[in-house]
Amino acid sequence: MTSREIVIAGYIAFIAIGVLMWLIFRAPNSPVSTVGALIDRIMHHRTTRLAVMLAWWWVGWHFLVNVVHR
Amino acid sequence: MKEHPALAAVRRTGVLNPWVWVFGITMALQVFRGSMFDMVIFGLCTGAIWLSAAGVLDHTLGERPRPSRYAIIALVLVVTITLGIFPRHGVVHGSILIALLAMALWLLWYKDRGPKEHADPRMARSKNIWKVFCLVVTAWEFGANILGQLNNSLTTHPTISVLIDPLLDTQLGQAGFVALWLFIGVGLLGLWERK
Repeated sequence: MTSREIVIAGYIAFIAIGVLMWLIFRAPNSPVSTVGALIDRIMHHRTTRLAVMLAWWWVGWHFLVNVVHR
Repeated sequence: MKEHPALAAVRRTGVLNPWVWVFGITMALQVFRGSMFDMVIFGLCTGAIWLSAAGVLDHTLGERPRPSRYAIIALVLVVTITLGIFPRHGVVHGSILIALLAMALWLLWYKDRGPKEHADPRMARSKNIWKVFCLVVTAWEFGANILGQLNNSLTTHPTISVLIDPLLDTQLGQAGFVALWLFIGVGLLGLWERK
């Protein structure tokens, strides 16, 4: 496997694990809170809200306004 | 246990807030990858987060804005269509993104609803699991970025940007990205909830 394939396999694994965890934690008897409840808690404090939304905004700026070198 | 007065004084300056460090380190990474414009953006973000953490701007906080669901749907539709149709990297996208930043700041800048409740075991588990997950993904992405820079190649260790950007070259990919991005933004701001 080339280094490129290893890096891409890593990203695919992260997506799969993330989606799987998201689905499993949605079960009514799950011992772990849902993503929605976690986000609600995370966004409680103003500074965290500001940081999360700035990160979200930068993703949009990065792909839609900036030119990504590839 | 009572906090040491010196530590409490440092905490009040906002410098111990983890988000200041997250954005500060990301700014440093932009210097490393030679992206001066992103360095300026992350520098400004770091400054804004620091000011917020220090409580310097607390007097400007108001009540939480509650836009109607119709307004949210209309805005998302108009923005998705506009950003999906016009070519990327132009004045239209730049202007709309700046307007969306201003709107997001207005929507998030409100007083916290009292102190945060103690996390129950379910919430504590969720917090820890997702924290580890995010740290691993970030380390992977930063690692790919750094190795790519050291090898002077964007293809041997591709970052998420390098892999996703080609998908946005098509109209459908571009519109799909905009819709997903806006959907996440609306979700993060909790604009849909009515409690």
